[in-house]
Amino acid sequence: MSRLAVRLSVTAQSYGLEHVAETKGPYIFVSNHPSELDEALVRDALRHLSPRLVTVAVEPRRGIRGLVDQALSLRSASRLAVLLASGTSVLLFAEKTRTDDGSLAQLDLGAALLGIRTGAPLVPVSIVGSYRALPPWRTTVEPGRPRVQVLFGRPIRAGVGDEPSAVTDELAAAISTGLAEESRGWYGARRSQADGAHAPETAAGGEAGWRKIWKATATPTSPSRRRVWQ
Amino acid sequence: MSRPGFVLSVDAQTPPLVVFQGEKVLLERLPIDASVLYPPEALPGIHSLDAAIDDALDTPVDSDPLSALLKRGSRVTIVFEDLTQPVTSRTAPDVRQRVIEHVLERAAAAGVDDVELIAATGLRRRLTAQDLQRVLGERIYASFGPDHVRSHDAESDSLVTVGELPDTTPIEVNGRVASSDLVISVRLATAVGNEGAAAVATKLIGAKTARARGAFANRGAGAAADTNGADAFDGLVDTIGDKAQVFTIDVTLTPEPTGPASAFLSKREREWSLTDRALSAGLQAATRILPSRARVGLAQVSGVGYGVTSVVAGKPSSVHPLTESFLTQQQVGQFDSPADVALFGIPNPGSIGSSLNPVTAAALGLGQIFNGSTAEPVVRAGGTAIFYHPLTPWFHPLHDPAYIDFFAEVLTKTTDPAVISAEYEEKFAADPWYRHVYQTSFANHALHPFHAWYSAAPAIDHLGEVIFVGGDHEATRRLGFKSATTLADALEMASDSVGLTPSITYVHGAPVSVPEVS
Repeated sequence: MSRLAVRLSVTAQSYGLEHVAETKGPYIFVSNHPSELDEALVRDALRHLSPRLVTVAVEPRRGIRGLVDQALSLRSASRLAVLLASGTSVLLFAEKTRTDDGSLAQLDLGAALLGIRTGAPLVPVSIVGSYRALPPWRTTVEPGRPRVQVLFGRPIRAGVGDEPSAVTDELAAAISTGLAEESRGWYGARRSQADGAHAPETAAGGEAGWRKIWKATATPTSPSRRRVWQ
Repeated sequence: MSRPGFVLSVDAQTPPLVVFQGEKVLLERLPIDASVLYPPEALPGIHSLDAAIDDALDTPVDSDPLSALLKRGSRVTIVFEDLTQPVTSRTAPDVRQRVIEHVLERAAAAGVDDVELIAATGLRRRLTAQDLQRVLGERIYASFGPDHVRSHDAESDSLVTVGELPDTTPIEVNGRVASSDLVISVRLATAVGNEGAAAVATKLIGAKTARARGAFANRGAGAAADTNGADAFDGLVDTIGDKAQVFTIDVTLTPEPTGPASAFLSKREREWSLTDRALSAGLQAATRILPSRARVGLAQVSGVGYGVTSVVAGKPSSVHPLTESFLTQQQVGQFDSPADVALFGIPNPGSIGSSLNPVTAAALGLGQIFNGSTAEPVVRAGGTAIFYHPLTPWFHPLHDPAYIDFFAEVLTKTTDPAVISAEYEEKFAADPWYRHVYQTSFANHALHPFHAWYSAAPAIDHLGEVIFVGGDHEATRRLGFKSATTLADALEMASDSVGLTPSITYVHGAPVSVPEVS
């Protein structure tokens, strides 16, 4: 989906770009991938900060885009390292598989390995609300310009000697905290992370699939309309 | 080290100089031999603010790291500056938000649940929900608002007594702050003295305490700070009450907003490039064409944001002197001897977003005499101060109800602060309507115009004449000053007291200090 189409169809808000702007690029953005809007959303948020950006998903893309990825060898770590060295940032949808309920699946170690190999800062990105806006069974975006948030976390520096699994855990924790913000608020998400409570949005097992889908597509209850009298 | 300030002697080659006049920017040609006092150039802002804040919080001055002070189950209050300090950027998050996010992340990691955020408003108006979102960001506001983010209420019933002023008036402070285990104070300063007294409690006191502390009788002639009050608050710098320990985070900002469109205003005119000249011509044309309301908007968009020059955290009694000395080194200009005539431009602060009312503008201008960019007054006793401000008699209907009555009822009778203090202060302080609009709407407290006027009194005593160039005739006369149309007229009017060839000093740039009006 093009950036213009996304801008017209959803109300996108991005937070945390100031953390990215203070770190020298190029960057490796590591994001969850709940819907087909995600790439355009992140590209739109980064249009000033990092206009040169290539996107790679762990699960190969289908159709013509998959062929283009193949032709450009975008799925090879060496090729991505060369791109990073030339100043191009990389957006990685690093989940091992795409879930059909909007929750976060286990992350692949590839993002951490790339960060360790190149020294580029790893930026966790949480996309919230895009599953509700465009669930897999819809071909067009939900009407009414639903609200979608792109939350950028503080960049994580990984270097030689760092354990890829530890870096991946740190990335997953940062993305989960971002996802938990929708239900628990900014402070609540960080507070529950400190208690070691898993955010329900990220729990791999436990809840039945239909309950996750039900939750992920529920209309947000917080008042979004501005009140005249306050 | 920034480029130091210097004194320029005006000669025939000197180009017209930038002078602020409310929302306008003028280019004025000064008389030959006048001195122009340029402040030192601002330091460049810190590039990586996140790293600077982390560093300050992890290695504080004379204190344990913040993470060690935050404990599970403790009661924590974060006190932050209200809109007396500018909103630091139109597009990026405010510096207060950046600092408070770091603090809250540590609080969350420590397992703190009882957190409240309080704007240190003193006697100033409450912050609206929109103001709070601009200062704290949507995410913090959504997490804590509306119940756990609020402004200090000087008329609240829950104030707690923590000491006594020399005249035996009890020192009442915000109840939540006094009952906290840890008070984290986030302070911003753009200029020397701009962050206020060392004790954050001075911005969290009750109206009765503020009235006794700011009473005209307590203010020494020639000194803006009331020494009696400062002594009484010395014991409240590091702890407030029995248990509330204070941890301060002081952030210093560049004195003026920096952005590509307005950077030329803080440059020295001789060094203007062609682009700067073109921008200046554009700004002149825009101020001529646009109506005054649009000019207010123009002033707001011309600056992109304030840079951060330092972040220091720790024990307040140790951090405050460090911040002051850093700002002194950065900002105080040097000059040889006080002049007969001093010129000042007064811009409208961009963060207020509306014109300054005449009482505030006069207090801001006259505050420059003693609390300005230099340690000593730039004008001799009995000299003349010439200010550039329109003094339009316009008051914000929501924020300034007490100012409207002060201007209409009090200043028409007398401008003598001693008489005003004796005859009118009690009436205003006891009026239930002002208290109602202060507590439930967004009005400044009834004592606010009085304290503003008292803060200008030492300067009025020091000066022989005060002239406002471009000032509204009636409003200027009501304040007890004179108005002139041009600088030449103003100098002609001043010649009665300072002679025909007075020494003139122009203090270049925006005022660096808003007088501390509780």
